[in-house]
Amino acid sequence: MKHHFRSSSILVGLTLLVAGGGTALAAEPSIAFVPKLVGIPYFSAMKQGFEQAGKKFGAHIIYQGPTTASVSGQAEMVQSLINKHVTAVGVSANSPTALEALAKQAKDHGILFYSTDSQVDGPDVDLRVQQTSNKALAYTVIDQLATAIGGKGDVAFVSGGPTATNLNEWIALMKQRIAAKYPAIKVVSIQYAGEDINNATQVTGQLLSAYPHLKGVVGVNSTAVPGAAQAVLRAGLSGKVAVTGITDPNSIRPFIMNGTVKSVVLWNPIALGYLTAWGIMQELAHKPFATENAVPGLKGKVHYDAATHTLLLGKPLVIDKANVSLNF
Amino acid sequence: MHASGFDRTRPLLLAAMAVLALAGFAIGHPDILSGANFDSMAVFGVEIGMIALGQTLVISGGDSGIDLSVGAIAGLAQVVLGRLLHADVAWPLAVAVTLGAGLGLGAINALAVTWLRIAPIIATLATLFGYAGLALVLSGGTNIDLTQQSSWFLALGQGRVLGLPFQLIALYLPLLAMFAFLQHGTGYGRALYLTGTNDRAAALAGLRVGRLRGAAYVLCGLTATIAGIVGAARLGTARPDAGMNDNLISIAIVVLGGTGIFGGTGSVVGTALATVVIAIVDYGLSYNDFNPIYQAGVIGVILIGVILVENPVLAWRARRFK
Repeated sequence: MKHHFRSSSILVGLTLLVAGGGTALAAEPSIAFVPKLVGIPYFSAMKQGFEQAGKKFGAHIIYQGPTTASVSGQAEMVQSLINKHVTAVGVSANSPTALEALAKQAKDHGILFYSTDSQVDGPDVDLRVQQTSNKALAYTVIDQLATAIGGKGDVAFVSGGPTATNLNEWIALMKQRIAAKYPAIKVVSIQYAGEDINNATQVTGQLLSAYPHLKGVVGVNSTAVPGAAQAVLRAGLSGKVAVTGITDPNSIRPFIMNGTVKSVVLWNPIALGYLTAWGIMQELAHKPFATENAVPGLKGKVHYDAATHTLLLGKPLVIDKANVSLNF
Repeated sequence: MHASGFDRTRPLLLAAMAVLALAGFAIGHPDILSGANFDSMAVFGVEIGMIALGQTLVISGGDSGIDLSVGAIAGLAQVVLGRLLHADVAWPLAVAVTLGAGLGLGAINALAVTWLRIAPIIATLATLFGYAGLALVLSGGTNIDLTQQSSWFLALGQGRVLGLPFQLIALYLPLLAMFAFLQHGTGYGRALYLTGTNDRAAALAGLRVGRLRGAAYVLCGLTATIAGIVGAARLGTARPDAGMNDNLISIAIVVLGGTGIFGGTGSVVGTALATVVIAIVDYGLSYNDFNPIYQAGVIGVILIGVILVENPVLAWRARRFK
């Protein structure tokens, strides 16, 4: 009995050794991604992209993040992943500066550090991946608007917070596009409704009564578009006042299905996750990026900016009836 | 029960729990027992641990004493510090002014509770919103970059002493020793215990109950501020929402550490042990790739688990020593 026990334990030990050796030989790199927070469809979509690329290019993906968009929680996860000696670790950052020290620590441990979706500053970030340029995003929204209203008429903007840097930049670029390409479109008002759908509905309702000739409303942030659509629907102006803007399919789906909204614009977070994982694999294989890169599995070329180590996903995604079933 | 309200059952249970938790995580991932990992646990546990020291005094002072505003104080302290540093105030002065501001924030809580006689849970709920709002206004709602500040300042959260984290050796452990001495070795500590046990008896004995409790809120404001400063130096960033998760966790740690929520019992030593347990569990769960959505739940389970284990132990002891 005793002898039997010993031999079986040796067998188990050997199996473990072989199994352990096996994984060591395969040495699939492990890529960890720490999103701003877990449990929301946007980052689950990015994770999906990471996993597709992981399967295709041979990497193990670890997806872990805090339950609230907490800087400290994110730092704690990155630290534990560095201590675990993953091959690469990165974030969609809750703060551009709070992870700089950890980026340096990762570098000192020979771990690749990247940021995607929301960037980390500083010299120790090996790779950044950006959704799309602000310009492309803003211009595409105006092009969608122009198509919807036939290239002329009064329009109004409904934005989020009046001090939000990215939103204000988008508004400026949208105006630029209108001035350059659609001189017959006139922006009659810009209102701010915060990150609040009900507020956006209220503000848009006021706009509709104040400007009876309004042809279109542009929602600049993700809550403004469904809010504006709700107001237009409520006023019985579906089809008469066009609504478009920057938002995600989950928020806008009912309004696209009932015809109040023809199209909205965003980027594709699945493709963003996929591109990030591809970029990391290229870096790990020491393959330098060209200015324009063909990525297997992605349409179009991906631009790389060597000065900031930034890959740019490229064209925004136009979401309409055909692809509104995307879940993010 | 001990004269000072110090009871050995809970600390022993917590120590056992810390060892068990570590052993459990080590089964999943043996390399968690490495220096780097203990280091990280210490770094992440120290800030909430400091806040919990102050919270212990507040809760043990009785009269439903509680400070819900600690996280908001930590966030506001970071913003004040960040603004001062960006105004080119020398860092030691900026830190000193911030500490002063933290004492002031604690004093506002103290006055609201003892002078205006507002129930602590309401008073500090109000200041939680007030301080958090002020932090948002002062910061403009944005991230304040401190990564380019003096490396001496950053060392408050990133430095090393004897190969260990600076904030553990030079800040947390001395603070713990001071609070333990304050609680168990001084007249103030004994008076606060008496106040927490029976404030009428304390008042009849000539103790100034309001001042004793008020001082606890002021000290609590101070520990929250120190935690905020350390956090800002560690991340090289000041943020208005920095302490948003600390308010309730600090209370959970104090209660887990054996301080009775009705006051008059408990010790910062128990609080320190509870901090160790929470730090191990928190870090161990993410190290073992547990879905973080469950982590908050695990803290709740531990809290209830300790009490479920402790009750029969205490009952057995009571029977034995009858």
